[in-house]
Amino acid sequence: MKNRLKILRAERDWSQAGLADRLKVSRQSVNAIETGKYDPSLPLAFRIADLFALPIEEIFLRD
Amino acid sequence: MTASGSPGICRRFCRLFKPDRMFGFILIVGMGLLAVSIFDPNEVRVGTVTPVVKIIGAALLVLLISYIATYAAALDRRKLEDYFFQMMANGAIVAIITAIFANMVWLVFETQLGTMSADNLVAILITAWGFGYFFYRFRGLNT
Repeated sequence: MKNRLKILRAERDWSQAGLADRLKVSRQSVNAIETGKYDPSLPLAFRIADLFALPIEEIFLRD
Repeated sequence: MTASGSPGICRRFCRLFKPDRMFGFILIVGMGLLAVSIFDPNEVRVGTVTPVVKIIGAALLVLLISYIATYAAALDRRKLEDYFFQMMANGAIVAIITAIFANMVWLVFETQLGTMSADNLVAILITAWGFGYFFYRFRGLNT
């Protein structure tokens, strides 16, 4: 699964640590999601979608 | 003519390996091994405890420790992030499989290596768990 997390974060000029704080996860988790090493759980995906005020399918895309 | 819709032998065989069946089998094998080790006629033990009491005691001990471990894992899941919990869980699977195979290989070379002690097995488990964790940490959980 691909995602647009890095682009969305860059648009808001947030660091990985800043995004991690907002999502209440570790910076390593954010990095792992951005690099495609880890697909977030559904609750975390919803938190990400809520934070960026976008539907999940606009953030996470099928390969 | 197109191929029929019925699944092949390989696929039918694979369908038999459902998690419930696999773990039911593992549970029975584990209990059997426990009973066999308790009834081992070659091992001399001092004491007056009967084998039946030993089996009941061992079963209760296993149940108690399993319950505590399950509760601890549930606590880990709540307290840890999903990312780290998944890496820990995947690492634990690596550790269990490594321990089983290491034990088998050790048995083959028992004359050279000596009998595997419980300490050896625990050391292998912990090492493999750590290795498994870092393997998934660097490689990622998806790829």
